[in-house]
Amino acid sequence: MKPKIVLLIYGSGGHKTEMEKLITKLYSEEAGLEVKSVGIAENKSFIEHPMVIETFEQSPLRDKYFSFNNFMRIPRIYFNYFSCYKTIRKKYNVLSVISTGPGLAIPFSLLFKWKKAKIIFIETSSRFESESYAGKVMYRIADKFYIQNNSLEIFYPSAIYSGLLL
Amino acid sequence: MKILVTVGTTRFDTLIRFIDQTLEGSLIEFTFQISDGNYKPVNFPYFSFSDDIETYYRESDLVICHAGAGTIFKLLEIRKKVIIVPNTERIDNHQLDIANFMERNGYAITIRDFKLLPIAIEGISKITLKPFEKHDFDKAEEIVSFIMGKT
Repeated sequence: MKPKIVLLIYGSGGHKTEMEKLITKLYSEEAGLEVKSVGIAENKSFIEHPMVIETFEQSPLRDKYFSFNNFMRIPRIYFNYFSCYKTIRKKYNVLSVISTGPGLAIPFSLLFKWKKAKIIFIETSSRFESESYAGKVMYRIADKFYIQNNSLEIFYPSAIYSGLLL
Repeated sequence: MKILVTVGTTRFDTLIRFIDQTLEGSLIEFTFQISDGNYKPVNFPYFSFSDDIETYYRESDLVICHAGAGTIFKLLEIRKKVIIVPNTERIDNHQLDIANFMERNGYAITIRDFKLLPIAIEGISKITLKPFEKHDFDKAEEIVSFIMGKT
């Protein structure tokens, strides 16, 4: 039987810092998550944790610096997402997908939701007065959607306020 | 007065250059954290990154920073006076979002036009900012129960 895992998706900078804190909390004595995790990160600076057994690198869904070259890379990036999805599927039983953003969470959440994984999204703490692109889309996909700032309630009425991961 | 100017991980050369050149000869002890910036300050000390940025925070009377959430929350948590300068050289606008929020609620000063920085620095000692109450993330148990199908 394939091992059960939680899939963690995070970008660089603040998204990574937030995921690091979340991992520590999920595997703390109080929360006591028992299944291991697999990561998908946007660059090679992976989060190191004894319960994170493997991490895949994938390109960002939307590049910060838009250019023609980046645009031409899109088909290749999407193809890579799909093969990464297939690799993970073959090896693991994904119970849940958890992401702190950014948009990289969207394709994997859609693919694994279709395979009955529970989708959890935590909107970035850097947003107070507007939604992030990932947040807007993930609000429709996620089974549980958390906001770190109360002021976002007006955009995400059914979100759960979680407090800050930073 | 000791002031740290910090840009986090994304270079913000225009800010560093402005302060370094405009406030040359000032009695303020500036220190710059410039990331991988191309502009190297000539009038004040600088460094690229530090593993112990918090010590720099604590030793400064005022911190001028980009609008990075991690930096801002940390500074407000240790009750440091902060002037936020959003980095509009970046495509995404989330830096403006947090900067506007902090300013409107009186937790920090936000400066969008560099030219206003010297005045803001001069006036900072007379300004009282509201303490920001940080509520730590408390939904880990809920998430684990949900994943494991207990709720």
